[in-house]
Amino acid sequence: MRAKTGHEDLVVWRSASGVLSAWENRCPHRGMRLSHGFVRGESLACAYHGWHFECSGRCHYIPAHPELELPRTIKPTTFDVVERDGLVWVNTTEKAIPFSLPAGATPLRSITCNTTLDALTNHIFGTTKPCSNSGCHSTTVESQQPCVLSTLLTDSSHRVYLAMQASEDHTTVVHALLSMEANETQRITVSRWLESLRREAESP
Amino acid sequence: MNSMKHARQYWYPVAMIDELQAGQQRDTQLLDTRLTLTGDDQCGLIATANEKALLVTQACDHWWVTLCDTPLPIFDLPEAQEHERRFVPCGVVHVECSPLRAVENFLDIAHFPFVHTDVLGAEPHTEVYRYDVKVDESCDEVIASNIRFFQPQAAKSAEGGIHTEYTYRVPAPMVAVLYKTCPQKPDAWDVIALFVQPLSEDSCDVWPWMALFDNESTLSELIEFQQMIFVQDRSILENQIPRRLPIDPGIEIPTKADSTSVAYRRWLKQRGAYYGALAS
Ligand code: FES
Ligand SMILES: [Fe+2]
Repeated sequence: MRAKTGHEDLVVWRSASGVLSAWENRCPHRGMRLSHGFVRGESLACAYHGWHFECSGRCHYIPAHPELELPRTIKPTTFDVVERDGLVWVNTTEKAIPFSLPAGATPLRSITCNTTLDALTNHIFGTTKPCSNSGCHSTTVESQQPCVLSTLLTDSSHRVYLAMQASEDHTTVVHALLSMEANETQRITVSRWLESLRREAESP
Repeated sequence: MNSMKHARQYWYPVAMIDELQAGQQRDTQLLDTRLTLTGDDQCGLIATANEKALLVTQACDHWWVTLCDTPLPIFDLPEAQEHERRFVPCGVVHVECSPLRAVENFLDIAHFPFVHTDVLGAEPHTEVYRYDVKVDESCDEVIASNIRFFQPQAAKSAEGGIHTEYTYRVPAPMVAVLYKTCPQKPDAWDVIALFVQPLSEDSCDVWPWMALFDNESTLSELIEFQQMIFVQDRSILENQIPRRLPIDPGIEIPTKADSTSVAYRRWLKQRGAYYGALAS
């Protein structure tokens, strides 16, 4: 799939055996976005000319030259990637470290909002009125970099964690997690709340 | 010479011949400049930019215009005079990419099995065999020949897979012509050309045109076939990064199969055809 962090366009993919990789979203051959490619076992195949890249990033097969021995140097820019608390964390800057969420947080969903990160956080802090019966109150900043907020829902003791990622095109991706295992109805309620949050934040 | 000045010397397609009736008007764009096209009473076309009339000519069922008062001659395509052929202007496809990327994609055969799967190519027939590329000094064109490729359905008129032979000509930076084995007439070549109208450095309108020996397919079948192919290419072209064509070696890695593209980029660079290119 395609992911964005600030200035970086990324492809994030998981091989058949479960290995996770995050690379620059650009094929070294002719620049095709690798997020349009296909996972073939332990390789990612580019959609344009079918070059195969293994999990390390190294290109090991060029269909136009099936017999060719390939130098190790053909590879897209790769980034460190870890999975923690149900999220995938990518390090594109050398110095970022994943933020640790409290134990037991479970991922709910990711949504993309058509607003900047600042506008979105301002909006969340400004939302005092309960939205439906599941509004939020007492929002706290858990981490600045990356931006993680936690917010307590009015009708339960659930906390929602919002890990937010700004992208260059003025959109923000929000990954929402719940503080504990929630049942179907609770998950749906929080999911709806997220959608209404997005609607309100996007409306001028 | 700067890239804009260089690009302005050439002719570019802006409409199909019968497209505009007398009095009918359409706005378009060429090399960042707004154009107005108007059909006139003599079945002609008037093209203006900033209220100035531009030079206009006809070729291959299209209207061509230039922004230059002393343009280079338009390319020569003798097959356009062979009246036993069927001439098929295929309409227009808008693509958000550099006009040069659109041409390069047209010159590329290695993508057939992956982008035009089961039509122009299919796995496991992915190998690109050695072919010849040169710049013909007499006419100053890039020419790639002796290209052989297995195609499941090379043309609308092809039944079953054939080994197709291709020759390409690039007579202008934004014009490419393909000669390919004709399924119905083994001793003749079908001609498929790509005429690109550069709107800006990273967006273009593409006018495919064909001159075929195919008496069976209907016109709309032929157009549909070509449009389908091009829409598949568009999904690639709009997802290449960067949008402009990297003209210097280094950013992208070519292989032997890309010899045509390598020659094309070098040829563009030598003549200063940087419009739509990314120079480092
Ligand atoms: S652009 Fe990826 S294989 Fe050619
Ligand atoms: Fe194509």
